[in-house]
Order: sequence, then structure tokens, then C-alpha cells
Amino acid sequence: MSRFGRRELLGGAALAGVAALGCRPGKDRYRIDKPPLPGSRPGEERWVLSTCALCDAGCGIKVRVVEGRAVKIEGNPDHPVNRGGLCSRGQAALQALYNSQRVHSPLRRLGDRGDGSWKLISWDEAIGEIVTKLAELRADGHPERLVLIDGQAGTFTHELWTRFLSAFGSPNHIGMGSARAAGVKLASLYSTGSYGLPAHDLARARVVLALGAEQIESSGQTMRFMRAAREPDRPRVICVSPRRPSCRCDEWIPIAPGTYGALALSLAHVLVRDGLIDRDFVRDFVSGFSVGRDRAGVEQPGFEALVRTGYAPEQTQEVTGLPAATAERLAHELAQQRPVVVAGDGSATAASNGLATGMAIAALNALLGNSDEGGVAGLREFAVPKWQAPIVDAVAAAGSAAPRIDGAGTAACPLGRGRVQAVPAAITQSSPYPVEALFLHGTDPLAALPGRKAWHTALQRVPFLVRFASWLDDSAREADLVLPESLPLEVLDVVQSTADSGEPMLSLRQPVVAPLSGTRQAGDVIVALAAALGGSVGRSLPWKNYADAVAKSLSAETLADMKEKGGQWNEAKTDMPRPKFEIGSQAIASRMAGFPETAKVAQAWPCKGLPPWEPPRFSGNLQRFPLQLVPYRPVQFVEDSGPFLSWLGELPLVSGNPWPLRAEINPADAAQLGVADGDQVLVQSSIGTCPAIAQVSDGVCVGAVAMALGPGGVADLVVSDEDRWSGVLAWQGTRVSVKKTS
Amino acid sequence: MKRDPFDDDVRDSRRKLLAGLAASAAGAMVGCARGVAAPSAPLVHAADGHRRQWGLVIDLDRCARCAGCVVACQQENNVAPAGPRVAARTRPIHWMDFLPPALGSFAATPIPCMHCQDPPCVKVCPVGATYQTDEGITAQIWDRCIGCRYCMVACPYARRYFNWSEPGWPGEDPSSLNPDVAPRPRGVVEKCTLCHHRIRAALERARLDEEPLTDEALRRLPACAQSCPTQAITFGDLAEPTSEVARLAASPRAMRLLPEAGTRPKVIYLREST
Repeated sequence: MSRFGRRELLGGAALAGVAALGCRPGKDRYRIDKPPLPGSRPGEERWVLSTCALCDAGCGIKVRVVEGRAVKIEGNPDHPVNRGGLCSRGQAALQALYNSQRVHSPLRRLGDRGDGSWKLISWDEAIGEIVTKLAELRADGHPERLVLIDGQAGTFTHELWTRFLSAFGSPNHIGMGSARAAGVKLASLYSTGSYGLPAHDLARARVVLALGAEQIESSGQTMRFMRAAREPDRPRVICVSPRRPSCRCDEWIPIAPGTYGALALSLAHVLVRDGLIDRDFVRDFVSGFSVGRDRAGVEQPGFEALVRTGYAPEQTQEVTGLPAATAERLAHELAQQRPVVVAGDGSATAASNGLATGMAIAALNALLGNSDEGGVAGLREFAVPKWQAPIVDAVAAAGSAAPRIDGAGTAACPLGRGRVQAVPAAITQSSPYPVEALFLHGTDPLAALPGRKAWHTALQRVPFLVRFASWLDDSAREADLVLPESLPLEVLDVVQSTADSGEPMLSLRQPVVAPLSGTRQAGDVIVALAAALGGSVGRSLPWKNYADAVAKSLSAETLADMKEKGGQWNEAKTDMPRPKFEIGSQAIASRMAGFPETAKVAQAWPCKGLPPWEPPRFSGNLQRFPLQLVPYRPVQFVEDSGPFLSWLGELPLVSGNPWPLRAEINPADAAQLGVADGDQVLVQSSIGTCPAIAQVSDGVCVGAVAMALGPGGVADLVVSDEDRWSGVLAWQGTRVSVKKTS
Repeated sequence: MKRDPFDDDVRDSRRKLLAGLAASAAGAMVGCARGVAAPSAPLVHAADGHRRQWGLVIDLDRCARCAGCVVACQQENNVAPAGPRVAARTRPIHWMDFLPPALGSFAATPIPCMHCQDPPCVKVCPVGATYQTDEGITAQIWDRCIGCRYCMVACPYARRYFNWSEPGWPGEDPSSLNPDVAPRPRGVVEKCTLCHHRIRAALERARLDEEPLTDEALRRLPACAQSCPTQAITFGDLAEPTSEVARLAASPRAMRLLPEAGTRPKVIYLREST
């Protein structure tokens, strides 16, 4: 080489980088006969049972490991959630595992936020820095100024965080529920008394009315139940949603975004009007249906009077865009084909009327008597790990008593359990108090939530930002410390799977391969933080590591059994308690009465304890932004995925070139806008723009534009609005315009 | 027994085989009949001596269009992603693909290689790189392929793919490659093998365990069939009348794609309705 220029230098650096990752560059890179990894014998092959982490369903998986390398993910045939099947998303976990961009050392920021210059530090240094900050907060008597945004739910790691924060003294364990399915979970809480997704006995239902397409197209479990047999041995699945689901259903009925509640109430109207309700069930198990008297003896109008007077299909068809005759037919089909399930999902309740929508759907199930075989099968409760109560000292008690920064449990969100979308404003305005330290675990709010600018400003304001991340994603770039987290295929954890039998069940996540060197699982970090903090926090988490914490909660036999089977469940279906429905919820009434400003509003509600259904609110001027944006999570969508997973990105579900983002638009709207299939368009909302390729399709209702969430940047269009009462994020509440650019 | 409208020739070949039992295969078959797994027993023959004819039955009514089979196939067979540049100019390689909704008259049509009984691709290959195995699989020898792509033109189902570039998994440490399947180099045509390596492994395991390979153990053998949440894809021996695939192939819903092409596929679809 005559000259050693910049290019050669960079090339050399890249090669060195590749070599450092332990693989040979060049043509041999994709040789399949690699030497066995240390610790495994030549030719060694085993199948390891674990639990999928790509969505909340918690399907059982088995992973083929050859000479220490995971090479294939299949479904665990014995697992009650998926019985051997596995969707495309779950299988793509392997691509994330072996992504070469993973962070493999704790990083400390050098220079300004977002500069991207880092110093590699040791785990001891990283833990030391965090503990110094945390000890400072406790010494100042302000432990509540530590905030955790935790994208994981339904795992023992989540429970460990809760425990850590109560011993430390912060009430701010903020989940992502309000951006996911909290509307459905809260409706379940207020109508049946259990917070969680209702378990639907899909296997035995004759008709499933799916309100919202997400539950059909992104859960392997529902797919299995809905299509694993031929009619009449499987339910007839009717999907009502603004966009035709990419997975199959027997009938698709388009509906205007955010108007599912009106449909549910109009179906209830027809049932009541035509005498089709399950009278015995309503008499014995449903409260709030007919006129009653409250404790003070004042007559309270019931749900019956409410739906009789309004909500006739002729009245609601203007709102829902669904012809009255269709609603009549649906109601009669549901009444005649029992057992049936009416299932709402997170996308149905992601509107400014989210909780009212969820309650209307629950009420419809109550009128149909859907609480037995083939209906709403039971209540899912999380099996809490059996640890002793944490030790709460005076500092922790005072800190935990402080209000939460997202306003949960205050008049700002009287009926919700959290509103993560309120965090940026709370941080920027230091209200109710300044946030000194923010931990981000299991989610990248910059990518996963609307309001990127607000989040960006807020993250800049936080003095100490720690991101548990496997990749240098958007929010990790803003962090002071990045803690490389092991991936689910590398760790031990206990997961609450959501089996549709309604049985409480636990699945085991066990290390399939050795963790990438330098990474640790969050559970181990929490235990290490507690140990380094010492005092009451240390004594509350007295374990050597996370595996020890799990072992202290489950007996050795149970754990061994779970390793053998992949989890713990009861094959024989036991009788689940038949849920009772409260249409007008006592809990809602008393919670609303708890705050002077909301008590007045609740008094004016026509039905006590039932938020009245209102048409959804949309952000954006109707003249400038005439179309309603329908963001959806396709089967390819992975929250907090980090890198682009090409297996999912290239799926042939849409014809032609699979890569660019598409804006699906109805032919009627397309004709009006002069947009043809395949045109480049710019979709614009009041806060952002997003380029896309137009896809003219009759699979989306008139007046709507459907776009897939994910790497395309659709979240930048969404205005962060919410349900006033429950704090549920109104994902489906943005108006947009579509303009042809080429 | 109900006559299988699709299975004439398979049955024929089986009859011929049984009739001409005499010479070469006899020794091995006697071994099988005694239940002794002779190490030299040709694995293509079932215990009763008939020649296996592997096939798939895909129930279009059960398919939920989740595309789990597509990723399962890519993972199992080390199919490299196309990347945006190649995807924009041609099509990504998907041995198991979906017909675009506009092309199929069904809501979802998963489409692997049809493994035709009379495969047009085999006839046109100038170098004998593609051939039909004794078990009815249309196979391709990557090392022999010269990349002329005659077979791609001949295939009426467009189930063959040309490697326009070296396989690559950019941004990925290639640890997750399946050690049982070699990635195909640039310049060759590749296609579905019906997870031939998985079939071999299952047969070999049955032989070593000295246990007959049951139809039940075969049904979910290929990666696509294994992953299917609704069990819409069934694999098995079409020449074995008691097998699940033979039973399904005799269904009144059974049909083949492009019957007019005369290729007689061994991938049989079940219509959504009767």
C-alpha cells in the first residue's frame, strides 16, 4: 500500500471492530461451521424452554442452541398460551439477540447531551455513581425526586422495582399502561373489580365481536383460538375497526375512529328494546342496570333508561358511520349465538373517551350474560412474588406519601393508574416538585410516545438520566449513564402469561445463551443498587442477585418443575369465579367524589358511576387537516426494539416493496385528493410531518388514513391528548392532511 | 376408501414399486419388515416398503395471515434479508411467501415451492442442478447451479429466487445461522427444500431409536408447519393412505394452484369454503 489514507484507516478500524465482536470478516463471515463457544462441546445441541418477550401475551418458546449459539426459536407445544405456534414477531427475537449494535459496557456521557461521545466505564463505577446520587436524594429527604418509567409489566423484575422504590421512598413508578391497554384494564377494574385484560374464553365462544383490530393482528394466542378449527367449531370473528386487520377475520365492519363506545351503546339499545338481554344474569349479577335508589334514598336512573332514550342505531350511525341495519344485525346475532365475547382492545379505548368506551363494552358483555363458558372467562390476577414486606423507614414513608408527578391518584387523573404522557410537563415545570433523577427501563419514550419535542426538552432538564438499554436508542443518546441490559433470551425471570383460560399462570424465562459479556439484567442491577445503598433499602432486598430473589419466592421444586415445563399452570380447568358486573361503578362514584372539582362533574352524569360517552376529540383544524389518523401496531411492530429487524421489515404482507412506510387511504378520499396508489405523499398534522407512500385501499374507512407505528416516524404526527378521567392516552385523536409530493 | 382425486400417479408409482419388489430394495425391506433397522436401509421407503412422497396441505380457511411461517423459514434456512436497495429493484427472497391479495382470490395464500410431480424447472436446467429426489422433493444443488435462471422462467409459480448479491446480514453477528443449512452464494438460484434437512434428521433419529416414524411426528416437521399458530400447514407422506395429508388431500375442499399448467403440485390447498 503506497499511501495509508483516511479510508484505509476507517476500514481497518471497522475490521478491528468486527474482529473484536468475535467473528471473522470477509467471505468467511457467514460460514456455518464455527468453532463451539467456550463452555460447550463440539456438536452439542439442546433445546431450552423460555418465554417470549416481544409482547405481553407471554407465549412459551423453545430455543435450539447449537454449540452455545441460539439458532432457532419455536413455540413450546405444551404451553397453554400458544401450544407450539409462534408468530413472526416472537421468532424475530433472535435477530435482536445477535445484533451487532448492542451496547456491551456501561457508558458515561462526555460532552453535551446527544453529542454521542461516551466513556466506557466499569459496572462498579456506574453503580457507584448512581448510588451517590440516590444517597444524596435520601439524605436531602427527597427520595420522591427519583422517577422510574418502566415499560415492563407482568414480570418479577417489575415487582422488584416496585419493592425497591417503596423501600427507597418514591411513589413514581410510572408504567406505560396509559399508552397501551389501560382503557380496557380500567374498565375491567371498575366493572368487575379486577385490574387486567379480561380473559376471554375464545375457544368456546360462538361469535367474537372484536372492537379494535389490534387484538386480532398482533396476538398469536387469539389467532390460534380464532382460526384453529373450521366453522362451526371455531367462533365467527367479526372485527369492527377503521382499518381492515392484516390478519384474518370472518367479517370486517369499518367504523369511524374513536366511536366504538357509541356502537356498544347502540347494540345495548337494540338488546334492551327487543328484550334480548340475559334477564336472569342481569338480575343476579349486574348492578346499575335498572332504576335504583342510592344510600340516601335518592332515585338513580339506571343504564336501561340511558340507552333507551339515546343511542338508537339510527342516532349513532351519524357518529360511527356504521349503518343502523348493520348494528341491528350485529345485536341480534350476538343475542342469538350465545356464548359470545365482545372484546375491546387498547386501540379501541385510545381516545379522549377511552374509559367510557371501555365501560360501554363491559356493560354490553353484562347484558349478554357473557361471564361463563365461552364468554369473559374470569379475572386475571398477577401472582405476586412471595417476599416479605419491604422495610419502609421515615424518609421513605414521607417520600412515598408525596403526590406522583404524573398526577395519578389526584384530581388530574381521578380514575387512572398513571399517565406517562404527563411526565414531560411535570419535569419541565418542576411541578409538583423537581425531578432529580430519572430511570428509563424497558421503553424509549422518545420513540414510543407522542410528543417527541416535549419529551426531548424534558429529558434535557433532568439532572441525572439513567437509561437501561440494549442499544443506543434515541433516549439513551440523551442519558448521563447507559446501563447495557441483557436481552430476555439471556436472563432468568418469572412472567405472568395471559392465558385465555383466565387461570393465573406463571411462565419461566431462563437464560437460553450466556449474556453478552458486559451486559446485566435489570434485576441484578436493582439488587446491586440496594446493596450499595445499604440501610433499610439494602435490608429490603437482601439477596445476592436476582436469581436468588426469584429462588426465595418460588420453592426449589416449583422452579425445577418450571424449568422442565416452561412454566407453572393447571391443565385441568377449574371453575373460575363468575364475575359480577357493575355497570354504574361504586368505585368510580367514590373516586370522583373524593375531589371537590370532580365530584360536581360526576353528580351531573346521567348514570351514577358511569362516565357518559362523548364523541372523541380530535386535535387539528378540520379545514386544514381533514382526515383522521389511525396509527396501528402491525404484527411487525416491536416496542422498544432498538434496531430494525429485517425479518419483520421484509414480511410480504403488503404486496410489492416492503420497506417504505405506507399511508393507507380510501379510494374515495384518494380521488378527492388526487392521490394514486404508489404516489409519494406527505402526511402532516398540527405538530409534525411524515413522508410515506400512498396505498389506496378499500381496507380503510372513508375519512381516515391508516399508518403503521414503528420505525417510520408516525409517532411524530400524533398529538398527545388524553382521556380526562382515566388518563388514557388518546392515540387515535389526531387529524392530518395528505399531500402528493411527486 | 374414498378415492383421492389428486393422488393417482402417486398411487400408481406405489403400485409399480410394490409389484416390482424383487431385486435391489428387497433386502432392505425385509429388514424393515422384521422391525430391524438395518443401517443401510434406504430411508426413502416407509416400513411397508412404499416410496414416500412428501407433500404439504395448506388450509386457507385456517390461515390467519400472521406470517409466522415466513420468518420461521428464513430463520431455519439461513435466507438473507434483501435490504432496501435490492428490495426496491427485485423481490426479497422468501421461500415461503404470501401471494399479494390482488393476485390470489383468497384472503391469504401462503405459497412455498409446489414440489410438482412434473416440475418444469427440472426439465430446463442445462446442468442438472435441479432434480427431483426419490421422495418427490424438487431439490437444487447450489454448487452446480450456473445462474442461468431458466428454471425461474419455467416455474409457473415464481417460487425460485436468484441471489443477486452475496448473502449478508448487515448489522448482525451471524451467530444465529442454522449450522445445518449452508447460505447460498451470489449467482445461484435458490428455493424451498421442504426442510429436507429436518426430514433427514427425523428419519435418522427414528432409525437410531429403532422406532417407526409415525405420521403424527411428521405433521409439523418443516419449519413453516411447526410455527403455524393455527396449524394450517400439515406435512406428511401423500403416498401413505392413512396419513393426515392424504386424508386432507381427499377433502372436497382440496385444490391445486394452476392445475392447467399440468405440473401436479404436491402442495395442496384447502379452499376456504366447500
